[in-house]
Amino acid sequence: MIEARHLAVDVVGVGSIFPASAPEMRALPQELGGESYPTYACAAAPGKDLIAPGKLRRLGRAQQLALGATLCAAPDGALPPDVGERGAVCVGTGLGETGSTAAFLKSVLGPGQRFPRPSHFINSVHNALASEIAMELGFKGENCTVTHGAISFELALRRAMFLLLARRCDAAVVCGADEWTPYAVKFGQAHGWWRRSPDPLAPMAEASAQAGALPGEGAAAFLLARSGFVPDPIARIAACAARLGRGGARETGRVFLESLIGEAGAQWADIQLVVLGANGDARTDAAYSGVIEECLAVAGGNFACAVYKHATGEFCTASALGTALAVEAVHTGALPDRLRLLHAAPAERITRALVYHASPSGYHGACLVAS
Amino acid sequence: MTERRVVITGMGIVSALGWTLEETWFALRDERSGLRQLSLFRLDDRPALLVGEVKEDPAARSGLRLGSRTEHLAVCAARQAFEHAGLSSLPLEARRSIGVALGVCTGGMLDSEEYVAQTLCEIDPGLELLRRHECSCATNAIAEALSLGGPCSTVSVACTSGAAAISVARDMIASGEADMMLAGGADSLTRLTVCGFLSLLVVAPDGCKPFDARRAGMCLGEGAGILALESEAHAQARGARALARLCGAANTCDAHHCTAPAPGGAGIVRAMQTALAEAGLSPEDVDYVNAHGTGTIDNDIAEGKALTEVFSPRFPWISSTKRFFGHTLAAAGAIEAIVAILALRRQYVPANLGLEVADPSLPFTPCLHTTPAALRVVMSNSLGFGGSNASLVFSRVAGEEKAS
Repeated sequence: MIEARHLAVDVVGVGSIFPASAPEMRALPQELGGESYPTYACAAAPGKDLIAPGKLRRLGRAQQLALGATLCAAPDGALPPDVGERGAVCVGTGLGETGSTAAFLKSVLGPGQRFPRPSHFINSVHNALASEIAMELGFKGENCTVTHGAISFELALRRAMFLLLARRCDAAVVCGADEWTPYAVKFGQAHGWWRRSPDPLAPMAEASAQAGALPGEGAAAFLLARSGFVPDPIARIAACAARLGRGGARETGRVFLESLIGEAGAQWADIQLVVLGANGDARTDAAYSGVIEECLAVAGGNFACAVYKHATGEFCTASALGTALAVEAVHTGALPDRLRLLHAAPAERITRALVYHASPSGYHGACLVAS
Repeated sequence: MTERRVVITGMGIVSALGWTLEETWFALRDERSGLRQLSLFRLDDRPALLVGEVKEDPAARSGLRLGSRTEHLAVCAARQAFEHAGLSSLPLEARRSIGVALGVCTGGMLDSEEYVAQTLCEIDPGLELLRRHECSCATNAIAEALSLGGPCSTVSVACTSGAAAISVARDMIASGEADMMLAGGADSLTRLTVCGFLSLLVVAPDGCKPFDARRAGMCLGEGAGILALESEAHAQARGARALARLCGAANTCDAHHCTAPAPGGAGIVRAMQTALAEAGLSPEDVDYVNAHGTGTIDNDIAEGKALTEVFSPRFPWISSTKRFFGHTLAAAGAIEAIVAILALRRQYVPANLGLEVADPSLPFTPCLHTTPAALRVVMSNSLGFGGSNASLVFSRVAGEEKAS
């Protein structure tokens, strides 16, 4: 098997902020109905051990998540000095800073409110996450924020890979981050994403299948470099793709994944682990089952399947956390604790893991992580 | 990577100046600003504002059954660009490979604001108002309206979003990922952005005066600009007319401050120099720069210093067209790219409307009146929050004569 190594980029570091392992009940404010929603929530001030207190207070929650994950992925000394102008930042976020946005809007739309805080407006801009990362690391190359629903992270990763492969930069931070806020919950409710049962998510477990998932939040960041820029990468991203699929989910998903694997010069037999974005919603889990059955039937292969959204809840860029777990699996050769196997364990050391995400709106996103 | 040449074969624009390229060009030529009093929504107890508000409801023209104001604007401009590129009769099957890259900042915020306002008055507005909140709704609306099935991406890089989307589309074509893309930006006026910029004390209620010594701030606008980009080979194969070549594009970040540009404009200097290097051109080759020129003290000083560093002592024609359109945020980079291409094709430099007393700290004087000029290479600059900078370079296509 010959892999297209020249089309891969190196993973130098990875950092992630996961929510608590079990959902907690969070009440919406009275103006939004006051209901309580089971939620996979991160700590009150995510990244507080890494971000200076003065800065932490100024940042919105999604910024805290993104910057905290980035500082885990890119500690001092991870790269040669003076990357500066040759460093890019690509962030994927589905909804951005809805908390700051809502706070600003309440301060201008509420009865008698006339004194909005400019910082809420500044933080409400989608690229506020990426610009904070750039300022923290001094990365002055391209700074891109992708906000395209459930494939925001994959599109950001693909953009970073393009910049590295085209040698427009030597290193890039890619981050996927979304925050839990009451408005994010209402947005998901408008699309019929949530259920109200507080039972923890059990992706692909038919016995506990329900309609709807639980909201979550989190961030994962990846310090990437062009091949050969640093001596000992922990893994490689061999391919990444995202797009809106048309037609039947089973066939579309299989063709999409085969195309991605082919792009990396690999085949199904080379893959030991497939990490699925199934979220315990009976409707989407059925679609994942169909795609995997189709892949096994048509393409063969002997891969193990695992899920992770029982540890993250659902949000637009949750696949960034799935990708972080795939990198860990490939780096260590073993299954991380947060991944839950669906059937048998991988037959051999994990050297290639495929992360696959399909959303109810028809998006398909995937990336292939290799050692 | 082997890169393919990318050309522009169609353009569509909706703004305070009108609904077509022709209306836009006539207003530029005749130096008619599109600014007028904000009427889209009320802002109690706040000063009257001049803004670049689109006249008439875009929902009546887009052909969409449902959609946010941003979606309607985006689809109107995309339909124009599609038709301008000679694609209206393209069979459905052939549309499956055409993608969309769109820069969006406000997306469905206007509807989301209505939701928030009603909830604060203890009214249950229903969830329908939130369904189109995401920025990507506008991108997907274009794809659905025109039955496009190629790669789609929505970028949100503040006021450089439109230019960034054009760069992303250019790269997709140059690298072979797509043969053709619709790319640009769209944003509607919203309470969030109007009140946000007011809270930063950077809005001039009587409209912006870019590069003027007495400038007092920016003014907001709304609209959409969409360009049809394709590989030169693809355009030739289908017999399409190339309006201009996109020969250089670059995006950089100041990594300096969350809103203010780096003093001296180092980031936009790198963007301009990188775009020129990519185009294989030198500063002397540039005949006209459509500057970002918002009319704020900080922006115009930083950009002015950057233009000086790149072009001094031989300055090209320079103008900011913000007083025509207002600052249309995510649409600005695309609308101004279209203005630059119109200038290239009509061989006119648009006026820097609003300029009365040139800023003595800048060693160049922007173009005071729309002026005939021989233009072969033009540049469009964008700067935004987060220290983002973008520069696009367009050149005439060999053999193209002055457009009628």
